[in-house]
Amino acid sequence: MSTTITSGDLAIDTHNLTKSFGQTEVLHEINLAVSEGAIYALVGPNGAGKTTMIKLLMNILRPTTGGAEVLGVGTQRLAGEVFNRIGYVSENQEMPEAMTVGALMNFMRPFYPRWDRRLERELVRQFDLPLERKLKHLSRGMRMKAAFAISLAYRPKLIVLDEPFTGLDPLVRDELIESLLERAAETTIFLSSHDLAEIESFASHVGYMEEGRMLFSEEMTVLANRFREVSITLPAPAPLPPKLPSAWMLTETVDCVVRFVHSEYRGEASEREAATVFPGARDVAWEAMPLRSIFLAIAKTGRTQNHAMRTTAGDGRPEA
Amino acid sequence: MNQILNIFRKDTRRFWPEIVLSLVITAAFALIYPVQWLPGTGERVRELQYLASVFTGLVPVSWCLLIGRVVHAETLVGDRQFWITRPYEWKKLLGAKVLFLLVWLYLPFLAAQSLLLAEAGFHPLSYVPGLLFGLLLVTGILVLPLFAIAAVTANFARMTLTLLGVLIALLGTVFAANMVNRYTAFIPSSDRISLPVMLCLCGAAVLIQYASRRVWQARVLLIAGPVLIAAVLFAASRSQDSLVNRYYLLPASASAAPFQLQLAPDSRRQVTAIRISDNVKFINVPLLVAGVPDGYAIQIDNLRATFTGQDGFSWTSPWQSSYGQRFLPDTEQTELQIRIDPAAYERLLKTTPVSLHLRLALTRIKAGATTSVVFPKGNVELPGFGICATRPNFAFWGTTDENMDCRSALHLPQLTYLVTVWQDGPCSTIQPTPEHTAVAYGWTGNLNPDPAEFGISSVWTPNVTFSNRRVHNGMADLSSTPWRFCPGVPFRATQYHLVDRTQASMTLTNIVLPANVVPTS
Repeated sequence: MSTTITSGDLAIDTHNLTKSFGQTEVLHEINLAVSEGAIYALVGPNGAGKTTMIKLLMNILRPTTGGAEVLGVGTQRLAGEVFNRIGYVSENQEMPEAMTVGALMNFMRPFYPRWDRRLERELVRQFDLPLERKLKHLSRGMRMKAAFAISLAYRPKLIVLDEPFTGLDPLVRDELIESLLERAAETTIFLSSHDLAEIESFASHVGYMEEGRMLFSEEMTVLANRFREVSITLPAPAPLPPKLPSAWMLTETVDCVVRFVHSEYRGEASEREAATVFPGARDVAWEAMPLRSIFLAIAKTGRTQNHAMRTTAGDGRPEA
Repeated sequence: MNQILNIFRKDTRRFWPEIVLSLVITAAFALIYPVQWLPGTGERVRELQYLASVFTGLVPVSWCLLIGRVVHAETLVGDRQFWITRPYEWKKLLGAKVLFLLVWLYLPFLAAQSLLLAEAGFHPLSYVPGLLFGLLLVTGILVLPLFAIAAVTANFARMTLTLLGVLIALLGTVFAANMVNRYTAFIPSSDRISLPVMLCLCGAAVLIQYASRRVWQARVLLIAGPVLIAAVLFAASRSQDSLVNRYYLLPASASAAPFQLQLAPDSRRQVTAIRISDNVKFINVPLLVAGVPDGYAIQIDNLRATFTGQDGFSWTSPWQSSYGQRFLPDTEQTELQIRIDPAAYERLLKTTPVSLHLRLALTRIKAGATTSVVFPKGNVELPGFGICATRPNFAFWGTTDENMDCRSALHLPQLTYLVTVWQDGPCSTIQPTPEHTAVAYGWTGNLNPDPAEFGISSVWTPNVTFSNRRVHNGMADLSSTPWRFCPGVPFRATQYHLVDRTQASMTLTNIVLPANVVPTS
């Protein structure tokens, strides 16, 4: 599940990152490491703390306790020149509405020594941006495209996107994803979303947050390999054994069929384990699960169990 | 520097309507304001003077708009701003905003002030330090507080609401202070604290916001600062005795009193009492003045009165202002107005005559340069004072009235004693006879040594009030005669400078309090 990476390889590194507003803790001791080059998707339901997490990473908010580093810089020192290497786009961001797209480009260009005029023209053409139109007169999709364009034109080392595709039509969403993937080789992408389907196709790593806690964080392929939907057909209806393996989630019986989700699938070892629990099983089916089903299973199982489920090597931090 | 210029250019392009509006208001103010000192009293002049007042008020309003808009272009409050995740350097962002204000607020304002000085007959280049000091005052009193409020508010609407709140709080504080402190003493140096403190607090709030966007820290600073100042001033006002003792040094010995007061010989009949309201009553004590040394004058700033009745009942007033009454070596008589508690007055009335022990907080001033001229028909420049002219065809009714127009550069003139001659006939009368003239005198200006006072206009029009309460050349009834200040009369202006502030005590006995209290309408 995890790879050994040094801190120099990390684009994002958090340590017990916690944020409270008054008495309400909205983020609880988040430990996360995102290696350079990853396309990391932070998913979770609305109110899970994803946006707060990103605002902490961007030094828009300050942590209550704990800390984080982005591109090797402590987030509380994240200002000025460091943002030459970071592109940030958020669905909630207030854009300079009174400016035209062209004026915004002209204004932002001098801020970035690495601004690529050729790439700027390419993005303008690719997104079909109307340079003479004011941002306040643009559609939501077009505004997001403009935000992408001015965040990609200087080839940032890290692109942070907060719910970038929310409310966009599929065409625009695909255009934006395509533009991101074209630059994925030279950058790290960290994005949040509550829509699993939109990130499943391109994220290399995924982290799941709920109620301010990071339930797990790992590589997509590892996650997909780890989960199986299991269906065991027994010769006759029988009660479930009192003690089931801890990796089995949402275990239920319907007549002769026992169903559960295996969260630590290890091939033959897991199959032998199932055969041990149900020695007289007539049939056992192991099916891979789509990301959406995995998250639903996790959500239904309950926060405490899910939290314990996350296993990491080394310092206990989930790594991407 | 590139970032500063980049942001400055962006702001200039974006806020050109606000800039144009501010420039138009400033230009209109500069062009219309001279009507305040131009001769003429007709309807048209009054309309223009009213318009000048309106534009004078609009200038800071346009600044408010300009400052609010430019600061909120990169608002420092909130977590959704576009700019906070861009490579802005806070010092350069702040620098860009300062540059914007320098170019579009300070330069036009400086130009308007210079233009006004020139229009008034003063050469602007002679007043550069004063102009710069005036800008510092404008910064401390208006621009920086507005900037700080803009820095801790998210948008112009909230800034406007905050300003309204500040205004209401100020009015409430003044009202409460007046309610609590019925006797207000004049403390000469109290204003020296507020401005530097406000400058520091507002500056710190702006720096905190730009450097770290710690909104609540900045807000607490801005709220706590004035509250702290108000609390300190309030506490100080509650212990005015120590405050007066601090600024007015106690004399080394009783014999050091710089002048003497004694009851006017016929004082038994002349002490009068005035009732302003149920809670406010004054008594006027007629006094003879003596012992003011030549070349000096004495100004009574505050007094503290202790009345003692024949039965031993005693009432002491808090320190109270005596409105800067001044005595010259040739001053013979005066009238001291003392506020007294109505209940104490009623009690003392039963044991009148009473004794009065006075503690006086005094400012000693010394005569300096004197300018004597025969007042010409047009403008006359009085060195160190300003430029004055007679107001044509304007009659003086009664013993007190304005009778000349003066203007001074950047502040009211140094405290000056003016002496001239009135005549009771038209100015066309050639060489009026002595029986138709009267000496008129008056004080104007102040002891503020600063090179400029806070104001939107760089030209001040000091109120020159002449009076003559003495019988002169056999004319006993000055109050019924129209008196005119005409060209061709002798005119003398003597500047006075601060020597020191001290205290004196004296006791007056046998004061008969009148039972008849004159109500005022």
